Amino acid sequence: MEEMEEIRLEALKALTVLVIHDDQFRRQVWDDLEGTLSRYGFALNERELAKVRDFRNAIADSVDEEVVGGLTTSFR
Amino acid sequence: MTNPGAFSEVGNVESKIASIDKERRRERGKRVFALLDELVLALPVRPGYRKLLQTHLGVGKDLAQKWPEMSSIQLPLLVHAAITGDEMPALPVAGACTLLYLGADLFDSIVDHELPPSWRTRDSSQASLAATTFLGALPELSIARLQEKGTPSAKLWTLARLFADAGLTMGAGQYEDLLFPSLQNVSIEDSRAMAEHKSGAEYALFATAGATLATEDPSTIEAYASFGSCFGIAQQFINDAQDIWGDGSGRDLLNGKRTLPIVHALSTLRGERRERLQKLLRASRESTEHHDGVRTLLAEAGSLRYIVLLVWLHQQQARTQLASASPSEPAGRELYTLLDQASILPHFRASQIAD
Repeated sequence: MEEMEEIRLEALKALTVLVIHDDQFRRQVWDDLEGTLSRYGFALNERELAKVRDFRNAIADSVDEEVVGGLTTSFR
Repeated sequence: MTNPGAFSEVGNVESKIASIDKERRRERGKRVFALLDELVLALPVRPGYRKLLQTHLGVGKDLAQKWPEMSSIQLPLLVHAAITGDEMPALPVAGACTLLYLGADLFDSIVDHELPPSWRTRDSSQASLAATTFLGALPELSIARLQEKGTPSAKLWTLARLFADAGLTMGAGQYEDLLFPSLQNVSIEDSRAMAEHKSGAEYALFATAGATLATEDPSTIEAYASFGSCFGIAQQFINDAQDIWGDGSGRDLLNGKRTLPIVHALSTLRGERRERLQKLLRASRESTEHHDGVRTLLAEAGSLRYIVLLVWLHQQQARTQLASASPSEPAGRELYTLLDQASILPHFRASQIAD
């Protein structure tokens, strides 16, 4: 059941490499998610894109204070 | 039309499931520590030395009470159950993982000068001796309990080798952790590699040990190893962020650690702001009064959001790896729940932490 909801591993690994190594990608992906992914050659399907979009929106909606608030109730 | 009552019913069901999960986790913790109590009690050693080991088992028990999600207990048992439907045979493996975890944790505490209260009245050389025993001798003795249950010698050797390999990789990660403060330039990749060696290897061991006992299938074992590694890396980044922004924060700043938020900010900021951060980092080793200045510059660099992104990417990789192993229920659902809790964003975690 869970299997159908996941983002392909290859896409996640490629995203992780870019986020770690590519300063430009890091900056552009916040401002223009879909354009940046497309320029870097990602062909995510609708379901995968929706998941990435949901996460990006969740970050955009959170101010740092909210994130920090979450950390104080986090666990090890 | 939407029925608001339906939402509250769903919320109640989720809350009940979360509460049952938490109780199950506590029960697992009790079973593992009962085994470890018995193991230490049976050791042919002087009472004083036994007491030393029991002191740290007590620290572990307190920790498991406060943090029932303790991965060294949950992962081996749940992974075994996700493959075979039964978690009980993996109890000695979970015991071994917990001993290794407690040894590494004690070693970390010694290095960071933050020993738990029950160790503070003792000489630090005694803590070192206990850490060495927890890391080097006790896990194998817990694994040896499997022999009594008829586990073949070849599997026991495979498990012993897993622990040795993981211990070596974790040691390499610890070495990098100690080395980085003295280096001029540490890259984001260096920092990620350290997290992979330190915590990725540890969580990979917890998952792989359960899988190795449960199956001979290499692709299943590999999927759980990758799941554990990504889960551990995500958890390390959360801990790094928590140390700077969370409760009881600042130990890493006092110890001059080059954790990912710091490395990201140093890689992102330029000119005067970068110099200012470096100056504040030096001053932060002497006093906590400079820590807010560091946090301000980290915010300007977008370091917290960067950590949130990297945690999410590793968490998603762990989900995909877990899905590829097709875990059986109900253990599979519990593994997904544990993983979902490893998120920094509060509203991503809120629905998972209901208790």
